[in-house]
Amino acid sequence: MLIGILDLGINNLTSVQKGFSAALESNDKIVVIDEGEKEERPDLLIMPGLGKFAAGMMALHERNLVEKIRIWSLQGTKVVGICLGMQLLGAQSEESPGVEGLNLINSTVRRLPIEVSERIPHIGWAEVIKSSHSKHFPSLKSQGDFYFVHSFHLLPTNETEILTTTPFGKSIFVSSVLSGNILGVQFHPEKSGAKGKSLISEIVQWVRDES
Amino acid sequence: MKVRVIPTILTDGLTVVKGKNFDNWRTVGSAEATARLYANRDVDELLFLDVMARKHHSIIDLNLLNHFTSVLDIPFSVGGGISTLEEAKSCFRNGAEKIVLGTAAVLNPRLISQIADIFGNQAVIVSIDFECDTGNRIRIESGTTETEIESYEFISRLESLGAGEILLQSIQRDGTLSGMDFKRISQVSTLTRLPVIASGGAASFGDCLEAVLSGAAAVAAGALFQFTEVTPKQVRMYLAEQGIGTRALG
Repeated sequence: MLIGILDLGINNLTSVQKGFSAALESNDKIVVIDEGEKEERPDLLIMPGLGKFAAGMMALHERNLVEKIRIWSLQGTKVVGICLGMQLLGAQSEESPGVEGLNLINSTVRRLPIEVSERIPHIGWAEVIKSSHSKHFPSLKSQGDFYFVHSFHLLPTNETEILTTTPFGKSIFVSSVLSGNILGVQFHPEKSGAKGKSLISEIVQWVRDES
Repeated sequence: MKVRVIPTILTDGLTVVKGKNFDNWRTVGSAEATARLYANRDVDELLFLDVMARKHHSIIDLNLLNHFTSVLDIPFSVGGGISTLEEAKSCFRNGAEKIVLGTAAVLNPRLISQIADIFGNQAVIVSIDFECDTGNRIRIESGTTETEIESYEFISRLESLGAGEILLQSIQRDGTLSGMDFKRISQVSTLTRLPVIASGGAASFGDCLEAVLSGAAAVAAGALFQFTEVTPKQVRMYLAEQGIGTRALG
């Protein structure tokens, strides 16, 4: 299996790379993708996240990756967006009005709601509640929190694509989505200890099972 | 909101140091070994501050940072001497989830916005260092210089400048295990909607609880975890028993 990790020049590559390396088998390979033209199509493309929506999209454009990612996803590459990477899967974001996202999931990115008991940015550990019947990713159903650090969240138009939600004060936000071969997680599995490690293995297994 | 308990690791670049009142540094162990120890104990988050970096006109050693990243699978923040966008970038590239700006944020508030515009507000912690329980002027350069800047006015501007979190440190109580400045924690938490990390003086479970009840979103402590029997996990369990939301382990 070929795993590509996007390097947008702004993200925390090291920890994501380390997280996925631990889940690999002997003939799997990880490559860092920082340019669209010359790359071989990966079976799994990881879009790590940190940063602003506009900065993320600009970095993708500068690297000729926007069309490339759309094409790869049509050709069957599994795309996994983490945090900002998940938000970039959307059509647009309240964080950067007027900037077009990758639009791989029919959705918009909203600011977290104002809640008396919550502070924004939302920083820390929180539970995820599985709302889909997807047979993949059992660790999303088991006990234990994931680590979040964000002010925005992705809201898919199609409710059946919601994988998990997370309570936020009296409201909830979508903390992961699955739309065909596109997976988005708002939390950071690579920073979520043993629980995150399990999810990373399940993601790799998902790709293995279906390719 | 689930509150976080954050061990603070102070380093001089290589070793873990322990100080008192932002001074009197002495070596207490290896930074990497300390990080590994905490990682194995399911802590919520770690805070690394290089207390010598600014003096040496540098930032935390990037090799050391890389070591942290390679042993940690939990989030960590890095601070000490960061004065430019490029320096912040290297910290993120080497695995830091968030960076801490102190002196630089006060002298050049635009830096907060520059970093937040690229990496997002959630990635920038601004450290506010108080000299004593009554003084309202911000101190910089590890507490050695008092500025003319009124702290509450500065704090109320931080959200619009692009900061994502406030690290509220009490110089006088730093490393003393003498209890925290709850009044200040409460005032600052009311003044801003940003999460406040309370730091300085935590000496007991009760102190951590009171900091949270005073409005802190997280409690950071150094001496408490290094020099007493108390562990971050015990604090978390204690807070949970008192009805405070804390991280659930798998």
